[in-house]
Amino acid sequence: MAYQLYRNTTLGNSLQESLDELIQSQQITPQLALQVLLQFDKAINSALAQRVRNRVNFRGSLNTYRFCDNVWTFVLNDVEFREVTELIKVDKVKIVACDGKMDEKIANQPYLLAVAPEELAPLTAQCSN
Amino acid sequence: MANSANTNTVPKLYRSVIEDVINDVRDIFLDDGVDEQVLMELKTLWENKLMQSRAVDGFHSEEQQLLLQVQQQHQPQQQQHHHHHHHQQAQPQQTVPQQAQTQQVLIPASQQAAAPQVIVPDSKLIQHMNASNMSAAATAATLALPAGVTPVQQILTNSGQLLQVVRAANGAQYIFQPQQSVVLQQQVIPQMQPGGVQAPVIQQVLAPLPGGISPQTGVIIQPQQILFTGNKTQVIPTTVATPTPAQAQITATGQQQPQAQPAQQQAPLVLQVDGTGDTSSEEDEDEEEDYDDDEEEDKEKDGAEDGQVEEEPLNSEDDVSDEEGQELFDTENVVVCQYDKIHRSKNKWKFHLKDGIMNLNGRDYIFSKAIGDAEW
Repeated sequence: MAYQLYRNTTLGNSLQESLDELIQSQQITPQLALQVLLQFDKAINSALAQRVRNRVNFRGSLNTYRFCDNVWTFVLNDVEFREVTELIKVDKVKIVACDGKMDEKIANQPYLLAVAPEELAPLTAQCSN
Repeated sequence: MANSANTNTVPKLYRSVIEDVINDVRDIFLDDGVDEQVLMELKTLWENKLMQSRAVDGFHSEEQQLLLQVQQQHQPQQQQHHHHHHHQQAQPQQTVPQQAQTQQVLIPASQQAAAPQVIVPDSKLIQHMNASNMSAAATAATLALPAGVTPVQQILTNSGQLLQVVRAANGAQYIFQPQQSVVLQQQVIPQMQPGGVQAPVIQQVLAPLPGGISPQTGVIIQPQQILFTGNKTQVIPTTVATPTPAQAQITATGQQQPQAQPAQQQAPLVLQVDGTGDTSSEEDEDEEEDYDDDEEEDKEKDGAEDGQVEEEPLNSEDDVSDEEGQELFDTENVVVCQYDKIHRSKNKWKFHLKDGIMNLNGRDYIFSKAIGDAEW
């Protein structure tokens, strides 16, 4: 499953609002809307990973930092964002960052199960050498 | 050009994401038995909101033309709607500032002077009215007509009613229905203020419900305020002038007005009794507190000033909020991304970020890598 991180962006919020409207008018079910959002997550994650190729630098002062559930949240003050083409200054910015090393393959790695011994035999019987 | 790099890539990327998502969910929609029409509607809503947010510049105005050509081949039926839609959407950027006051403005500016009759600019409205009995989707749909449009337009709604839009000299616009017979199920309640209304007045038109269901009442209009007392309403932002021919026709439909006005006046009357004018003793206040709570809900809904005046003195003491972070657009600048490495040395922090979407000063930016420094 891709990060749901990007749902709180202009693109993601407008999609959610549109879906909410359709739900309100009962043209789609909430379940369907959820499916759409999941699809959006995949699409935006892959688009960012593959179709964007630019760098940004920034400098500022750190007001707060938080690391919880592998998510960093920073609040910076008096920040300058510098791209090759332009300079953007803001008084306050919040940065929310998920772990970049986690990708779907890692996330979906199999994990250990606890199996009772009597149940183990039939399972191993299916395994080939 | 300085800004070209970012302003070019962001709309393109958004457009490609939208396309990908829409195409990917098409199957899911069909599996669920949902019509393709709804999918198109989703796409249109999505794009409209993106345009309204003004976070992205020059969004898909050109791509839309290309898509129209592609869609013409696939869906001839859709062509008309999208054709109108395209023309209409060509103008939204101009009209957005004018409509800044209204929320959730869909700006189907119909500029087809050649055709005296214009299908309701928002094709979605037609479908909404048909499919969902003027459901809450209409709450987000507003008809806005730019000032530069031809003076008189006739808009054909789905049920064949003619909404006539007249633009008066002072730039006021309003919508009324010349056909009285069909009005029975509709309430058009303009706020008539002789002497010229300077403030925009918002009208609510409750479209006819096919099932003959009685429309929701309780349309209350005050200048510069949107008042919803029904669940499903359609808001049409207009300004009201008082040209005489229109007055005649509106008063013809004014039969509906007395119905609304008592409802309109009832609430304020009751509110005022219990509102700020209430200087009774505490005993009375206790008894009326429950009453006030209900009233306050209505007050907040109606946006009546009485309730707010009462609350402000109470809350003003609690207001300790600092006002830092107030940017031009009053947006909280957010960066949503992934981190490669976060490093700290004493109080010096280094950030290595990637794949991020930034919203700074109201505009959207994207990066594949970002490196930053900060002192804590």
